[in-house]
Amino acid sequence: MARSCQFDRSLELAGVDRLGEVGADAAGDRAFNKARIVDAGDDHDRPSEALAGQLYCGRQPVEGRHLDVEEVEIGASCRRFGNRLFAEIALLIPLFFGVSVAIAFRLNGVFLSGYRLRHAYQRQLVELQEARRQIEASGRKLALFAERSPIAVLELDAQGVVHEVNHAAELLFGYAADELAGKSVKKIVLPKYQPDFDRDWTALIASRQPMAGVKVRNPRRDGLTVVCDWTVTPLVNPDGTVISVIAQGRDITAQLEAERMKKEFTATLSHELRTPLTSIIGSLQLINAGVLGDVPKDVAELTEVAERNGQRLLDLINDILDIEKIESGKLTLMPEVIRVDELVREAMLLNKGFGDRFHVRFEAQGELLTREVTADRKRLLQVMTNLLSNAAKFSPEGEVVGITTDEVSGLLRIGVHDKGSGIPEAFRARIFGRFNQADSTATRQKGGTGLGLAICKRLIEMMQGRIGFRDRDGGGTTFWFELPRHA
Amino acid sequence: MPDRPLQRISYVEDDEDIQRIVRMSLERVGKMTVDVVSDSMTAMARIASFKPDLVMLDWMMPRMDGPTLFRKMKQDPEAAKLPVVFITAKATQRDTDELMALGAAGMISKPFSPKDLPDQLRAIWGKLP
Repeated sequence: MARSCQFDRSLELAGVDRLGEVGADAAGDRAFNKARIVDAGDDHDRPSEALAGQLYCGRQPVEGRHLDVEEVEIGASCRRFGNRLFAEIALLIPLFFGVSVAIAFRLNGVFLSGYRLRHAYQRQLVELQEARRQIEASGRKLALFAERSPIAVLELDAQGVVHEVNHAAELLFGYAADELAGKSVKKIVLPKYQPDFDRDWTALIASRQPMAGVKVRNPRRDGLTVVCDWTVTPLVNPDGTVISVIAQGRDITAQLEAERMKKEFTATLSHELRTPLTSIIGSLQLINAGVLGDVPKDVAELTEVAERNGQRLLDLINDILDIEKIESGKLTLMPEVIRVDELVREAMLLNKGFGDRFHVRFEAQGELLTREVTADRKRLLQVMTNLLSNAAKFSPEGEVVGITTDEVSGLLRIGVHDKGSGIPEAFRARIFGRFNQADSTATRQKGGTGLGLAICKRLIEMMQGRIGFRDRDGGGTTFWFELPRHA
Repeated sequence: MPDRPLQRISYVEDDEDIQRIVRMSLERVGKMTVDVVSDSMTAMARIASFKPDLVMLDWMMPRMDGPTLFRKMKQDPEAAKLPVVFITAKATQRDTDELMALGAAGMISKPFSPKDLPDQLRAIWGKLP
């Protein structure tokens, strides 16, 4: 009679549940104790509790049907098999569960890494796209800069062959870009300068260093020439090879012409205007000095007006020439060691006539220092004359203009103190500027070019000093300058 | 310092107006004797015959400018001894330095004051060895 044992699923689960508490065998036995033996030929769902109890205890049944020896052996065999199976299953289930957990854990790790990798990849992709976009934008911007640049821009290779030409270069040299592209840049170099060009180009490629301020006379298509100021920059690979050379050329033909004209104008001012003024002022001076005898009063008045205005014109010319010389760096100073007290006395003597004209007296206040400075005597006297004449012009009649000398931490300071009405607030910031006067009516009444203080400032700064002014207590202004003391 | 007062001046200048003013200044204010030479090419002969105490040269003149005439004078044994003062409206500091190094006695810039010109010349005369 064939019989089979089977676990109720709920029992199986009960056995597993308690596995941890009592061990696999004990759990198996308890489960088996509750097992149902099902007769294959009987109703499969009906439990045979009595048979199960006999099989487990090995005793004869107390009541019900009798069991023979074969049945008992089968029962024992079933019990052993059940025990073993249960033990194996009980072992396998946690193992399976553990392996599942491990696999799940590992898979989780793999999925997480995958997710991170994907995320990083996407981020990099976005960054790459952004970088590409930026590079393209920069490229477009650069191309635009070159194309719209008002100066000529040429891209050449290391052999001097033109690759790209911008619109300004087309206009400047009169060639279309196509006519220059692929040709040697020597097309825009005068034949007589080509050997020099070859030498300079070889040096440029060898040194790989940018060159600026290279002035070249370039031929145009129409046969005229233009003078260009070139900046040439080799673009070099990390391995040192020259990829290309960017040449930027600024047309300075008009600028040079303007400089030439300015120089010519300055020379004209210097000579052609001063020569007739020499005759005009000289003649008037001789008349006004009474060298030719007395002249009628009205005539004398007019000749004085003429002389004064001639002198004003001369001052203006001299000041313009001075400013021009200073600003073009052509003024050379002749430094010598000068005693400060001697300088002040000489300046007072030189300007005495000017003071008399405005009824103002120059007076040294306090003891003058006998210390020395290294400076250009003539130019320093020019500064003193400017400050003294300004002080005289703007002081009330009968006043005294004081001159002081002081030493402050190695600097010698000369101060000229007037009793004028002070410097208007609005004028203070531009007092040392060019053609600046607080009140233009003062220019007409008292003379002066409006360049005097601008010249003084530049001269004093050329002598490593500084110049300034401050209000005086009780009215008036002090103009001062400082120079380093001669060691 | 020379032992006699400055009295005789040779003046080489092409501009007639300035010639007149200088002559008036030196003669009337300075009470000196002046010989004015208009053409620098004939100046050497005129200076030799006039025998001045001091020579005044204009810088810019047609045919031969002042510095060239000065160098020519330096090659002549007699003229080389004469003190030379330049009077100019156009001279750079470098030009001035060069001529002073060659032995010019002084430099007076145009426009000069005719009232002061004789005194300026006497000051230069007084500093001569």
